[in-house]
Amino acid sequence: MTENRPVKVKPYAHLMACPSCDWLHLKEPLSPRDKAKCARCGEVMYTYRPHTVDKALAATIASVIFLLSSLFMPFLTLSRSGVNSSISLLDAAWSLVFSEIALLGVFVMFLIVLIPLLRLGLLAFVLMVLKTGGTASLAVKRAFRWATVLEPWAMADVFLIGVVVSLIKISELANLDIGPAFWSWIGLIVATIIIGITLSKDTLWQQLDQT
Amino acid sequence: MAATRSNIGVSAREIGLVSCHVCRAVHPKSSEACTRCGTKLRSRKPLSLQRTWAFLLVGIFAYIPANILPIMQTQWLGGSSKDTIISGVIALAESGSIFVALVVFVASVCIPVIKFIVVTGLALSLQHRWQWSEHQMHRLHALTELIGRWSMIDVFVVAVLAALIQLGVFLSITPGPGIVAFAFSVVFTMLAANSIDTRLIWDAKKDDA
Repeated sequence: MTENRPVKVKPYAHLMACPSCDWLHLKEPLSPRDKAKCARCGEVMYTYRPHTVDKALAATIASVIFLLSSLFMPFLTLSRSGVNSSISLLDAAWSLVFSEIALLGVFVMFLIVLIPLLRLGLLAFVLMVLKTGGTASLAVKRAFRWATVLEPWAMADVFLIGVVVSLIKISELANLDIGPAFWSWIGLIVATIIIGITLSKDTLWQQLDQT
Repeated sequence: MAATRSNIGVSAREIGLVSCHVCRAVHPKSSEACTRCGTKLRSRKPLSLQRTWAFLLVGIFAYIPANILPIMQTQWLGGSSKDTIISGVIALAESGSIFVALVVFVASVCIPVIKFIVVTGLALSLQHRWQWSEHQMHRLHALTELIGRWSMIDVFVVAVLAALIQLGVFLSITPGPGIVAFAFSVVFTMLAANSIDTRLIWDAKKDDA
């Protein structure tokens, strides 16, 4: 007969404990683009971003488009002694998955394709629900939670530095040309940075609570 | 600033409140799950130090083969060579790309070693209640979380080179087992840093005076 549903106790909505040191604060309305820092440890506790749903949704959709188009277009073209080889990211990851060290391919596939795509997809889903005024079911809240958890594991930006280092490393051995997917990848990184700037997680959680 | 006016002067735990780790809603200690997001409520991350030590040890152990085993093998007409992390950096420096060599060295050697030292120091300090400055510890932790993922650069370099340079007998690059060990080392060190509950740093601080 015991119920496993959450106990219906009204959360102390006017309070905020610092996520980093647990110091308790009274929540205060912020002016646009302001952030509330913890009085004890200085960590940013919450932010206020005007129109966070609209702006973050636009940036998320842009990110998804950039990521998907990067996958199929040629990323780099290598030419040496009349032999050309042009690869897309999917080709690259695929050829690694079927090489002797398959784990490397799996790693790369997760860090630059699957995790970023999953994170962006979850975020887009949550923002769409809020945008269209749908009800925030447990699934929506779980989706937002996972979108947050996956954030540091989406490594599109680190990958870009890896690509640049590779280009310099083999510039003596062969001619390399940058393909359209490279530029689209840079678009992905810029759009992802914009998500970070426009997204106020605290505002989103409050809105998810109200629906 | 807003922070000073809203300061209550006590931690949530000290007055019997629990803040949700996921959505940060504050609840009374008796609540089992967060009413906002459904997450199980915990005042502190359970087994924070045990988890940190376990992940950290795996990270450190994986770093040894990562440096001994070759991370990639280059084959060309009539020859082949194997590179380790360090020999790769030296080769880059010798070819004149000092700056790029430095980037790879920082990402593959400096950042992992700094993270090993900082996470070990933080875990020991929490365990033995050393009187370190909370602000310093807090900053060190934030730093390790920030720089950790950038260690992956070398993994991507090997992946790109191996995927791209497949010109048959003329020139081909294959990944070596060292790079997988390195990737594991980075992942586990990230998990170790993430397992430290920074609230524990401040819990020890009782008298603010």
